[in-house]
Amino acid sequence: MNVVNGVTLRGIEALKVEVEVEMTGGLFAISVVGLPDATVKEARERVRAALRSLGLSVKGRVAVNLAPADIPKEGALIDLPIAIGIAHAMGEVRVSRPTIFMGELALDGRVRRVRGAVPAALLARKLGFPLFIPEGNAGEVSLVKGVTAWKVGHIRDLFTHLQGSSQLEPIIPGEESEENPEPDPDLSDIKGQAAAKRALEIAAAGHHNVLMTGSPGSGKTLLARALKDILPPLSDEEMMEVLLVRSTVGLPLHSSRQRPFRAIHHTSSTISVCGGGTNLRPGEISLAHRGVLFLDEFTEFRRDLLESLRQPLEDGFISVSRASGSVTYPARVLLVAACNPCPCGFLGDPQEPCRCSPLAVERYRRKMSGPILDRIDLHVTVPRLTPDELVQFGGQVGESSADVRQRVLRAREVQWRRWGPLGFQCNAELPERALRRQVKIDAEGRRFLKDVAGRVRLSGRGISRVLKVARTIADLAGDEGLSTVHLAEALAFREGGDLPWNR
Amino acid sequence: MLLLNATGGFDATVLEAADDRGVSWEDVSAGSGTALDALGLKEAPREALLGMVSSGWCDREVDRCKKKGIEIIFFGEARYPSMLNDLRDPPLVLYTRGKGLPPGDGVAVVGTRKCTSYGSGCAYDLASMLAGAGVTVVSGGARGIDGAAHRGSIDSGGRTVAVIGTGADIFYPVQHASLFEEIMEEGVLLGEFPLGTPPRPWQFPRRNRLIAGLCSRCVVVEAPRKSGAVLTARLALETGREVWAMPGRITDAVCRGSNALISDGAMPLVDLGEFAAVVSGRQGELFPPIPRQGLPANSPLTPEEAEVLRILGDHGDMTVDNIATEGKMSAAAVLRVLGVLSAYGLAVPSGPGRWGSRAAAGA
Amino acid sequence: MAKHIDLGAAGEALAAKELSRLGYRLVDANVRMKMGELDIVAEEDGEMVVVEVRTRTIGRMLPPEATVGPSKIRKLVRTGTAYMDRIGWEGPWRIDIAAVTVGPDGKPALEIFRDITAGIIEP
Repeated sequence: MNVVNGVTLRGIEALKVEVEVEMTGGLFAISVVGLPDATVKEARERVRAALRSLGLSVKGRVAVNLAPADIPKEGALIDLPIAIGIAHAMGEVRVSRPTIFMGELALDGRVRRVRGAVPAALLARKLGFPLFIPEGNAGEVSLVKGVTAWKVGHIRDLFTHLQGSSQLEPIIPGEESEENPEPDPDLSDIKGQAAAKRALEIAAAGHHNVLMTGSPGSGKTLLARALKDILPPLSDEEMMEVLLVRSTVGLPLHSSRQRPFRAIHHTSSTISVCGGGTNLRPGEISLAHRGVLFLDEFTEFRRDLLESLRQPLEDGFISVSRASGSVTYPARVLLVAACNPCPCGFLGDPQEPCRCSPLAVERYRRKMSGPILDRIDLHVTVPRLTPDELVQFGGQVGESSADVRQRVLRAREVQWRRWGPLGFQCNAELPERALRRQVKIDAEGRRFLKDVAGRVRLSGRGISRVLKVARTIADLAGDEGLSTVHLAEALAFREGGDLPWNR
Repeated sequence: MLLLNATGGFDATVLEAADDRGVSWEDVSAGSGTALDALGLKEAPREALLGMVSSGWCDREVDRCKKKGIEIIFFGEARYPSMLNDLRDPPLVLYTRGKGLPPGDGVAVVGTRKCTSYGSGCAYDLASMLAGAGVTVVSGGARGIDGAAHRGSIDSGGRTVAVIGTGADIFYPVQHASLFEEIMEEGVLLGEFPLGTPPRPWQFPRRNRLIAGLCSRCVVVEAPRKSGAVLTARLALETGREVWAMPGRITDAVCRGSNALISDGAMPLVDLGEFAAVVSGRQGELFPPIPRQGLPANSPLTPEEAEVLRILGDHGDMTVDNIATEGKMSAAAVLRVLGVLSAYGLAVPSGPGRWGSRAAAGA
Repeated sequence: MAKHIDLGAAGEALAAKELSRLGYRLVDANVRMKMGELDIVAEEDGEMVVVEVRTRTIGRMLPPEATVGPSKIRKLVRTGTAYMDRIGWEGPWRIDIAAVTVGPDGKPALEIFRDITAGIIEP
């Protein structure tokens, strides 16, 4: 068996690639079998230059075989193992046991960071092989437990390490830390907006998707970003999932326990959102896995892009395929959508007049339908505060995100205990049948619901949504059964409930 | 008379002229040249009329009307609304469709098509109130204020007249088709144009004079300067009707016209209850609006709900924060109350995140 | 006419001297094979080297090394391969160019181009 190994990525999984090197006489030539031609030339030059920087001149015919032959392999990650493979065949270094090497070589011999270090680490752990990775990837690998790994800055250091004359620095689990992300708004930083904040609290507690409607400048984006911090921190398992996706794309880590937040623009391509492309890379929705996916200007999104989001929103994963194969990426997100109340954005604004004709408003309103809207449980409108109103809040400091998060956590615990045996984690996940059977409402509540449902013309699905939200409201309050109190508040967040469109 | 009306150039004044000049109707319907000359018919309409005579248009028109349940009322008939006689140029012919012209005089509620939600809300509430007082609401069947007024009347079980600027067999605008159906149940669609007349710009000012004629009071809810509604108001004034206008925000162009009417002498309508009392001659408190929505008799408001309603009634455009501060309640409690009140139609959103009460509920 | 042959021979001699100085171990010279000729064959650091010597007086149109075009290179490869076969050398080998330029003052200058097929020859 070959001792020198590299990896190639398929989706978020790393596959082992064995590097076999045969050196014979004849004119100098390096041939690499198992890589597409374009990348061969590049890899060859980098490898040769890097080896030459060590004073090694490669002579004769060098045949490099990357096995297995039938999986497509990526060029850059495989530089380092090829170089080591050649050096090993030349007898310059000794690789005594099967090892995984990973890294891109600069012409001067430096080892550059690559994408996919975490999948490689998981593979190394599974196979029980030691792992050598670029210094720049040390942070992410340090978060993987149970791997024997070293970080390499320059190929020279790796050589001397393998020759036994020096030691590379091993990666100690948990020690490496990456840069801190930009601070997100704390709820207490946002003035007023009690309704929206309450909606976010409910969304976080029960994992309900939210739609915020408000004029430009009302603060929807700020509120969406604040949601991130009131969500419970990532569990160990969730953290690994998030890490895996980020590492596959080559993004630096954020501090580990924070939920991801990705905003997609309505002009984004479907591939950038869902994944795909030449290397079957994960898309934004996978980068937002276990976190928040924010769709601003929701009404401007193309139908086909929204349609492609429907499946992952339902299943929690997304399949990306190409001729070369298909891959599944995780995609369990909390969706936050934001839009204006009308085309000009100022319908019902206390200061700016709305310039839209009733027809235009009607047309705009009709855009608010479709597969995504079906999955939104909470509708809330966000007022644009006048300067006077803002000043009014001047000295007051509202609740901090930390305080709200406590309540959210407690509500989540209740849900885990209740739904765990049935295989669900939160109220939003509940399918219709389970909802009707499991959620108990008292008599007064049932009467209330029946009465109101007729008045506001709630559809069956609308009622289900109200029930789910009411269940979460009750959990936040620590109440066992559902009663009018919870249903009434849930009603405030129904679709179209607080929009000045229907008179 | 049908013929003359159909040419579009004549109104009831022609009858006098006909008498004076000794022209008889038989002559006209026969298409006699001298008769037409005597009436002063110009060339193009004369051609058209002659064409219609020869093709037997009259009989067909009567037939069509019968089939569609459209009534034709001529000037001078008993059924002809006497109020229209006040006009300088009353219509020769009226096409009506529906249950029939309600007796008594009505209140015209008019305004612009591009109204604000405040405007349409006020029109709705006003019409609702009037319906509760048993007063007929007259309007033009157009989008915006007109539509809201008709709706308000119907929703409160009232009768309304929609004066249209097209043939009575056409529903314009198309979105109001179902509204017109509902209007015809208790009220009537009314117009002076022959069947099949499509909507044309110059036909609307002519229909506006009918609105002015059919009412005793004309209310302009919200209209910009150069608006058909303002025209209707002026026509109403000329016809000796009382003109009222609802004041609007001085910064908004959409109500510059209606505001200007006030400074020109129209009465400001600032209290719906009072207005309804004045119109019906009855005390305001005796007829709160009868909205289709409303709390069932056996579930009165909770103290929290009543408090929020009071706050909304005293102020407008309140955010949840405002209400919570004012009422010393938690945001969650406010949301709860709003959820219920909005379901019963007692609280309405005036804009994103802002709430107000129904215009009539504060009375 | 003879002058250019002289120049060539002088150039080869110069090249041979210089290569030795640089650590090449001279193995053979003026090898005639069926498909071509090899000017110098040497060994350097475990690798066999076929050295093609080019001599030119300065002022001529092309620098000496530029006179080794693709067809010439292909020929050298074929010839060199056959030579390695003949002597039974299975190890690595390469082709260098020794370019001798004679200046106007008659003084020669030598430049060595190592491993000219690296990057050109596809395996």
